[in-house]
Amino acid sequence: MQRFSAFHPISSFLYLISAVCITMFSRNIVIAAISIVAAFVFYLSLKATQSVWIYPLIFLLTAITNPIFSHNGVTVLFFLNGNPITLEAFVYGVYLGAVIIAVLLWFSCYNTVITSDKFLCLFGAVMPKAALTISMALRLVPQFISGGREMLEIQNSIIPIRCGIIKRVKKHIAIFSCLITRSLEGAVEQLSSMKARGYGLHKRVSYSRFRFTFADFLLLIYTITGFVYIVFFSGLLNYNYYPEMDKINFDVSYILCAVFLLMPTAINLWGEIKWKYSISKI
Amino acid sequence: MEILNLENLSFKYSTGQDYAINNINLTVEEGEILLLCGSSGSGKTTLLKLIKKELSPVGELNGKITLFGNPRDNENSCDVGLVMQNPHNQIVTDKVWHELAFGLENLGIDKNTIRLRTGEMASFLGISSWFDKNTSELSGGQTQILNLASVMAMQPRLLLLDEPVSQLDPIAAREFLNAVTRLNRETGTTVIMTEHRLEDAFVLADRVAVMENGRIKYCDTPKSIAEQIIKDKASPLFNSLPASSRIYAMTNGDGECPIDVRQGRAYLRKAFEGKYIKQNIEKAKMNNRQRIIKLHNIHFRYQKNTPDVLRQLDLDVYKGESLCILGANGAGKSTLLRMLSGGIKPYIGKMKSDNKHRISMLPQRAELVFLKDNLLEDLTECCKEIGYSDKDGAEKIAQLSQVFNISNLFDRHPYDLSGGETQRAALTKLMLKNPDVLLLDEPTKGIDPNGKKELTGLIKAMCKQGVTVITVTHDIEFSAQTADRCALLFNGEIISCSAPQSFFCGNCFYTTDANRISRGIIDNAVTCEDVAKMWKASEE
Repeated sequence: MQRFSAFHPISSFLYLISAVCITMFSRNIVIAAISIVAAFVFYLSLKATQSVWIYPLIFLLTAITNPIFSHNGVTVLFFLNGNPITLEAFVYGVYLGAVIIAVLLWFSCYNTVITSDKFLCLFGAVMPKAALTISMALRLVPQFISGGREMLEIQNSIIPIRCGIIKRVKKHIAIFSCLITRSLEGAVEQLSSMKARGYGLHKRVSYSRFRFTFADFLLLIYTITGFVYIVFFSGLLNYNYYPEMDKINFDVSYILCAVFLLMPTAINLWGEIKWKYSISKI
Repeated sequence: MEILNLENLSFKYSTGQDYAINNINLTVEEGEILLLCGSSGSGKTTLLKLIKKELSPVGELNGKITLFGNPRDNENSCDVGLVMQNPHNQIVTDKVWHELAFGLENLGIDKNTIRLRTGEMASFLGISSWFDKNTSELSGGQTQILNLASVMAMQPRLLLLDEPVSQLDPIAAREFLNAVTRLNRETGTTVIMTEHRLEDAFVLADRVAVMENGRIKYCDTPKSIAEQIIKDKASPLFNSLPASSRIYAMTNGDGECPIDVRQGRAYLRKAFEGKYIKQNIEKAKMNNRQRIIKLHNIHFRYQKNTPDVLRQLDLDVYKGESLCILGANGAGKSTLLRMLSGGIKPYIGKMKSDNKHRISMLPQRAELVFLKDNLLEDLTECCKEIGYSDKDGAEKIAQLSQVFNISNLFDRHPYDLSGGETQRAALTKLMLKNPDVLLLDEPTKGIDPNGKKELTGLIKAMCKQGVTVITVTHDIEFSAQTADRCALLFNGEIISCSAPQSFFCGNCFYTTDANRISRGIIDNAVTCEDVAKMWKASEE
C-alpha cells in the first residue's frame, strides 16, 4: 500500500522538494547519511522499478577522486606520488558522494510518486495554458516516435535500406519529413476538434482529479514546520571539513531530522499495516 | 420539437466553381437519428460542417439554418457536438480522463461538476476500465468511443457524426454504433450521421437522406430508401445496402424490402415456400498446387515472461492462392503477418519456405508506403532503388498503373487520395518488385463497398498471375468473396481452415449475413450472389 502516493500533489511535491533541499543545503555528513538511509528505505517501500545499481559506483568515484585532487586538511594519512592524501579530503569526498546519491535517490522516489498527472495538476494551477500544451506534447512525442518506427519498418520492407551511410541518412530524412507532413495534417484536424469542443470561448479552467483533504493539509503543515526548523533553527547544516573537521556532537535535532526524513516511509508502512489488519479481519 | 431546420440552403466554397450544397430543405425532429448517405463528394461532410458554427467552411452561404428555433449564429456552440472520421487526430491530451474533461474545462465549469460528468460518461460508455490510461495506448475503436464520450460529456442536444466508423474494423464499428444508439434511446439526443457503409447504420436510423451532387435526392424511412436505391439500377449506393436488401433486389422480390437479417429470413422463407435447396460444397483443391510456405507447430511470444501469442500453429500456404486469415482482436493476426513477412522468428517450431521468395506487405494505413510529394515521382524513385533501368521502370509503372487504374492520379500528392485510391497506388508500388507473396493487413478499413469490390477483383487478378495473397481481415463478407481458403485464428492457433463455403457454412455466428439469412432455406450459400444463383436455378 503506497499511502504516500495517494496524497495531493501539492503536499507530496513540497515534501519531496524540501527533503532534497535539506540534503543539498546541509554540509553535515551525518545529515547526508540520514538522508541516504531515509531515501533508500522510502525507495524500497515504493517498490520503484528504476535501477539503482549505478549509484554505489558514483559514490565510490567521488569518494576516491576528491582526496586525489584536493590536498587540503591537516591529518595526512599517506603520500601518493609525493602528494599528501588527507583524512579531511577523504571524508569530504565521502560526504559529497553521499549527498549526490541521496539526491538521486530522492529524485527516483519523486519520479515514482509524482506522475505526469500530478505534475500537470501542479502546473495547471499556476499556468493552465502551458499545462495544456505540456499535456498535448506528452501525447505527441510517443505518437511521433511510434509513427516513425512504423514507417521505418514499412519502408524497410518495401526496399531494404542498403549499407551506404549517405543512402541511409537520405531515407531517414525523407521519413522524417513525411512524419512532419503527417503530423501537421493531423494538427489541422486536432484544431477543429478543439474548436468544436469550445476551446477559446470562455476562460479555461484546469481540472485535476485530486482532492485536497485534511490529511494533505497536515502533511503540508508538517513539511513547512519541519523544513523551517531544520534549515533555520537547528544549526546542524553548517559544518567545516577544512582545515580541520568540526567535532560531531550528539544533538536531539539529528533525531528530529531523521523523523522528518523517514516520514514518507512511515506513512507507507502504516498503510501496509492497516491493509494487513483490515485483510485479517475479513 | 424541431432541432434543426434548413431552408433553401446553398453553399459554394470560396475556391470552388459549383455549389457544394444546392438548395437543401431539411427538418430534423428531436430524438431522431438521421442518416445522410451518398457517394464521396456528394456534400455530406460540407453539410455537417455548416451546421456546426465553429467549423463552417469559408464561402458563399445562402438560405437559413435554424438550430433549436434560433438562427445558427446565435446558438451556444456546445449544444452541437461533432465526432469526425479519423479517431486519433481528434484526441487533444495525453490521458483518457483529461480528454473527457477537456471540453468541460473549456467551458469553465467547476471541478466537482467536471468530476461528476466525466465519471458519469465513463461509466455509461464503459470507459471505466481504461480511464487512467494514456490516450496513445488505445485501439482505434476505443479512441473513437473516447471521442464520442468527450463530446457527450458536454451534453450537446444535437450530435453530428461524420463517417465515424469508416476507419474502424467491423466489430469496433458495431460497438460504436451501439453506443450511439444507446445514447439516442436513453437520453434522447438527436443524431445526424453520415456514412457510406450502410449495413449497420441502416437498421438504427429513423430516417435516411440520400445526397447526390449537393442535393437531397430522397429522404424517407430506411425501408423506402432501400426500395428507391434498388429501383434506380445504377445507384452507386447499391453495394452499400444491407445483405438482405441486396438479396431482395437480386431475387426480383416482391413485398416489403427487408433491411436486417430477421426480415431477410422472413422474406426468403416466403419466396422459397416449401422448397429446400442445398448447394453442394466445393472442396478447395490444393493438392496439385505447389506449397510455398509451411508453418509447423509455431510458438511465439514477445517477451520471456509474457504468454504465448502464437501456439501450436500449423499453416500451409500454396502458390497463387488467396488466403484470408480471420480472427478477433488480439488473436495474434498481426503477429502472424509479421512472422510471415520475416520480421520475427518463432522460438519453437519451424517456418519452411521452398525458396527465398519476395514478400511485400501492405500496411493498415496504406499511405505510409509513400515518401515523396508526388505519386509518379515516388514510383519512379522506387524503380530506381530496385535497380530497373529508366526505360524498364517507366514501362513497369505504365503496365501496373493500367492494372490498378491509377494513371490519372500521377500528379497528386499521395496523402490527398481517397482511401481506395491510396490503396491501389500503394499496391502498385508494392508490385513493382514482382513479389511472390503479398500480405495485406486489414485492407478494407476506410474503403467504401465499391472500393471493396474493386479490391476483390484486383486480388483475384493477382492470384491468377501466380502471386500468393494473404489477407488478414475482420471483414467476413469481404473474405467470403475474395478468398480461396479462409483460416480462423483463435487464441494463437488456427482452429479451422478451409474453402470459404465450407468454412462459413460450418460457423453459426462467425459467418456472412447472406449465410445467416439463407441458412435452413438455402443451405451452403455464402454470398448474396450465391443466393441469387440458387434462386435463378430454382425458378428454371
